[in-house]
Amino acid sequence: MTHAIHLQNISVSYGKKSVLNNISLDLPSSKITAIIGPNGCGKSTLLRTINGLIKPSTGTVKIGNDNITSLNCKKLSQRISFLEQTPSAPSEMQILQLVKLGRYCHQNMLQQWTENDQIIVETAMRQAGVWDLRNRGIANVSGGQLQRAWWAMCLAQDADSLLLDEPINHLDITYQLECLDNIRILNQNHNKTVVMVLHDINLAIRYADYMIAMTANGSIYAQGTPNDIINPDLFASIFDIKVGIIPFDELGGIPVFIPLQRI
Amino acid sequence: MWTSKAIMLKNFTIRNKFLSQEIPVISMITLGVFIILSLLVLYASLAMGKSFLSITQVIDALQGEGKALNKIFVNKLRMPRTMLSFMAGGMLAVSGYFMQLSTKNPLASPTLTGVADASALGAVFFLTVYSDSQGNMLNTFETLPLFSLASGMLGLGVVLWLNRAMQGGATTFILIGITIAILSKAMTSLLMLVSPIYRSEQAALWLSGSVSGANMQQVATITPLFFAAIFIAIIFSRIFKVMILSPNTINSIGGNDRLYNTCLIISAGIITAVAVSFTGPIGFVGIAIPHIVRKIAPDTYGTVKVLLIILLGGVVVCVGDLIGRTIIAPLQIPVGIMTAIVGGIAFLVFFYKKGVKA
Repeated sequence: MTHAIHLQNISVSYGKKSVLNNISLDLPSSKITAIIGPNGCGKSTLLRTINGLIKPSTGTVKIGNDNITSLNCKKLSQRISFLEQTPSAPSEMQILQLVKLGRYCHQNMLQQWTENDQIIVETAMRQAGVWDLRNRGIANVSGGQLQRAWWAMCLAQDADSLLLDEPINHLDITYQLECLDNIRILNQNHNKTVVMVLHDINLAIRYADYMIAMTANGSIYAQGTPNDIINPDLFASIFDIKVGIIPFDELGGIPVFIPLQRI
Repeated sequence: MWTSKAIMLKNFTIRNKFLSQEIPVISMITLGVFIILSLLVLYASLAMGKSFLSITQVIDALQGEGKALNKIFVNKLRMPRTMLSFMAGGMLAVSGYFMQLSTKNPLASPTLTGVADASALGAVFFLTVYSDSQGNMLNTFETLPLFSLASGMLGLGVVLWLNRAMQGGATTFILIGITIAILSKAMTSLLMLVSPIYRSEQAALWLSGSVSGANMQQVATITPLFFAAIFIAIIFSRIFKVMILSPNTINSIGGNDRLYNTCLIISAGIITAVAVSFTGPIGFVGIAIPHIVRKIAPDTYGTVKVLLIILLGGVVVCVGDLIGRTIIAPLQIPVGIMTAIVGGIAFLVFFYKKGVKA
């Protein structure tokens, strides 16, 4: 298994508060990786560190063979796109305008809207299902549609790796599945590496090829395929809950858990 | 190619090896209208005053022909203040736009950098220090803008230095800027109290924002700086589109929020200092013009938008000065007061009808 993103001995602290503790990870290339863990354990911080938004106090992040500190903002964005949890844009902005911004890292002073940009933006919007909404203002669409508009912007960036911070927040279950299906299709058809933070662990198990479980103090509890790492001990250790786990036959025996009680 | 025609039709698209741009047709039309409006206002400002001149008379005078009196009206009296007010207006409007983008606050204005009040302090300092006790001027009046500019830049330097020392972002910068503005204002008031009465009146005139003392030498100095400001705005125009997003999103799509902020704030400070040093602080333009342009041309972005802002800023200040010097002639109302009164009321009416939105 090749690795798209490689973290070595990463520690991050906000002031005196330590958030990530000595994390070393290899995120598999062209696979979907889900990060799970309790609130405040540093999942978002981990994604931001990978994307260079946060400078780690120790350790290095590599994309392929390149240390991210050796790449400028533009180069880095061509390799990794990141969708934050609650992105914001002015309410009167049209969805098409928003998605176009995804091409920013491919443009320069003179080349601001090439044929290629146009094709990629349209493709991304069709994939995300917002092409028909392109002339709507972002204040005039539902939460789910807006989420898909941001998702389209991220796709338009056309990076090999996508970091998604809770991509299915604010969506009803239909759109949650649709969104995750889209992620899966993109991952399979275009070999994109996806790393996402998910709160719904059952969905994470279903869609992820690889999982990372973080503890409340910002270190890695376990990493591996869902079948390898999902067991009652994991829930007891990182979430302090007792769970029942049953293999779900219809989906090839993937584990499904049911929370029983707090410990 | 299966690209949709829908996008192509509404937009004016240039694509070749060196340049690819897409500008909505409506933006180009708006720009055309604004250019015509600017030319009309520039003509009106040259033609109107003590005597009204026709368009041929103005053109003759500009070419050094026609009646001697017309030549004096147009070239000596009206030309400098027309040019100065237009350019200063454009510069204040664009620096207001920069401030609103970098702070992501629609209420931000060029005065928030502290530069305008620091410039004013320099001007009043000049008037006080170079007067003897009889109220005689000990220096040539033409050097006033130099003092004002130096003082404004010094103020900007102090704000930047303090911001750096405090490791602050855009918000800290504004807070420091406001503090420097208050300190400068206090010192200005103090100087006006101790300076000879005649000088205090001059200072008060300057502080209300006036182009009545404009001369061609000032115009010659400010013109290259005005075009430099336009050039900077065009260079920056690519980043305007993304500055409306949140900092993390800006960075993740390949921008650099911190760098952009710094560039915008420093440019806004310098452009404001230049404009204010020649005209005194002209209020309203910096804060209101970007909003008005956004309302008039909501689909216009980037270079065209910034040009609209510059043109409208120029038009508003030029018209303000034109009204100020004609409405109760021979008395002259300083342009700063005119823009504040007329612009302020117009702004309120405009947004009462349309609603203001960040």
